[in-house]
Amino acid sequence: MRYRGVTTIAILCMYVMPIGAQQQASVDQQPGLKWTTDQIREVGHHVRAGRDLTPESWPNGARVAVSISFDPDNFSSQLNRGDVNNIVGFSRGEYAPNTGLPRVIKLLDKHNIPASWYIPAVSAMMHPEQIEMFKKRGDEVAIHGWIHENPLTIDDPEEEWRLISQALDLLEQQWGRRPVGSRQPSWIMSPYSVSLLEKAGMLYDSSLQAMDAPHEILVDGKPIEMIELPVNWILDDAAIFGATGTLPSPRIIMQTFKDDFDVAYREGTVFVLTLHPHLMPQRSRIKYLEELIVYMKSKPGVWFATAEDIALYIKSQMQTESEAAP
Amino acid sequence: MKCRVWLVAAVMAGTWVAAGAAQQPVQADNQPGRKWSEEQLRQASNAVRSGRKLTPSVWPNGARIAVALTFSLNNTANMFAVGDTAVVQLSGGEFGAVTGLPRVLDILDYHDVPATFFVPATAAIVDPQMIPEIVKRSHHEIGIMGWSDENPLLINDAAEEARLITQATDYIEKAAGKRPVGARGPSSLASPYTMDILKKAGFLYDSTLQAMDEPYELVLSGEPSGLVELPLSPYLDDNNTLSARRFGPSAMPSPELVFEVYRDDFDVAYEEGTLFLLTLHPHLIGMRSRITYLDDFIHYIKSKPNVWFATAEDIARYVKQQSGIMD
Repeated sequence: MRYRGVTTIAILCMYVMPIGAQQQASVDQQPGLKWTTDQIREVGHHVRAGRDLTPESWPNGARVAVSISFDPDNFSSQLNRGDVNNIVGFSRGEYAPNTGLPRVIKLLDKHNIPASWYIPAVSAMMHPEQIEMFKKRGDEVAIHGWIHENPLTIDDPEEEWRLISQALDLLEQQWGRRPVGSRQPSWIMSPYSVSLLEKAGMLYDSSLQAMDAPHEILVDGKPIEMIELPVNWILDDAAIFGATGTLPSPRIIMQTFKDDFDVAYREGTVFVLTLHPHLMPQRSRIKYLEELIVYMKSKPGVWFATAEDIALYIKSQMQTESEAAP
Repeated sequence: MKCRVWLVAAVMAGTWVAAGAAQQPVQADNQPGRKWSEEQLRQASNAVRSGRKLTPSVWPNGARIAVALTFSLNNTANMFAVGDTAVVQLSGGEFGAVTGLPRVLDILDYHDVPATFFVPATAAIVDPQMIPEIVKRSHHEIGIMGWSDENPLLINDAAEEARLITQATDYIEKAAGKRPVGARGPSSLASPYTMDILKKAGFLYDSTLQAMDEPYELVLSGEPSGLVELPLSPYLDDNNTLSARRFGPSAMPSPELVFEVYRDDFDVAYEEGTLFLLTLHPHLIGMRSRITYLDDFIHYIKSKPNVWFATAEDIARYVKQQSGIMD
């Protein structure tokens, strides 16, 4: 791998910062203050956003591309932590296959909205009926780690590769196609993740947050094949609706989503919404998702598509552009 | 290198580490599950699972929906469990007994609706007037909530957990004059042993788990148990939104917004014809700025035709009988 010697230490140290700093400031954990400008650039430039890839126009002259996506994590991360005694946690994890998925799929069917499902392989293993539901709709299935792991603390490219490959194999077996999209569990990447996902043949990633338009990914300054459909914490129901959610008012949050969509529409880019089937389809929330969908459908020129179709279209437009170039 | 020393020190001390801009606190790698086989993963998640749905085709007297108003009267019980003797915080729990509960009971009286109170034994020991006040109303139910709102995951000992449940059940039986048949997990938690203990102790239902939003049968180690689960929802529990920060997340201390969520949730439950189970705490909901929202909400529910207000016990008995589960 690329990281050796001093660079390895420098990068590792960047990711090691005790939050104990809040309580006890006994050890100064700010190694970056001693880095040279070259070291700072190397760390800061490892993975960057390249060109904005928003096409001239979306298919059929649409003004905006909308990807409604879901992460059916269920109790995969609880298993990963080895937190096997917490029975309430397991029951929460069963809510999606039991109730959340059927309810939200009924809504998506009613409005004929395609979706992308980023599912940890272990979640699919524990409840294989989930991928059956997605298959029936012709939706996209994409990877979301093996078991909602955290690659930063694994900090081992070989182990990370094993988990990515294993996840792709399991989803391919259940779905009947090898996924081409990835979203990192908890949107966490190690310094190796981007290159490993590219090597695994991913068409696109959906974890980075450097823009709100689709963009090229640069690794150490060079564009790679895999493109980015960026996400954002404010367009994710987990931070606001989760068990320790910060603003669990579905009405107010849906207003935020609408406001965000309005600007995406005006700018003609993408609107990627990240939802969780144990959160958004709760009874008190589902009607607000329907309101949002109805609102978006009321505008002319909105292209609802899977993330895969959006990425494929962007790639095809890049192709056309480079062919047109002298 | 200096920073290598720090890295090693951090890992050795098991210190919490944070990624990048401290946006994602993570621990030194603690992910044993990623190396488990499918068999191990199944084994690890098999102790207590949801079984069949128990929503009946029709509720009593042709009602469309069953409504269970439940109150967790934990007050300061958890502080006793952890040996916390802080006087001001104890007074905050005392509020539940001396002010919150009477206000709640008055509203229930006014609307003439039954409710279920889950009471940890130690809360009843320090405020012995509570249970007689509830029992006086005749149509309310009292269930258990552990001996002292303890954390059963930390106890992690089936025999000790069984001892506490038995002791709590005996205490509540003596205070209420009737043996309780329903349980809510103390600290809203359940261990892998809890449901088995409740089943052996003859309990009719539990109301702690959250695998659906309608009644279901619990499956213990792969076997249907006959134990009824009346699931609660963290989004229908005032503790997540209205508690003071010391007691919880206090995510949205606006009763108006909180009750809007309850109303929206009720509307879908009504449409689906299942169960609406609300979880409130008298020390939270009993505050002046909140209690009128409870009053208004009960008015709202009563404005709909064919709503069956019942104790959790009556609901559990009905769904069990309708689904043909034998004892």
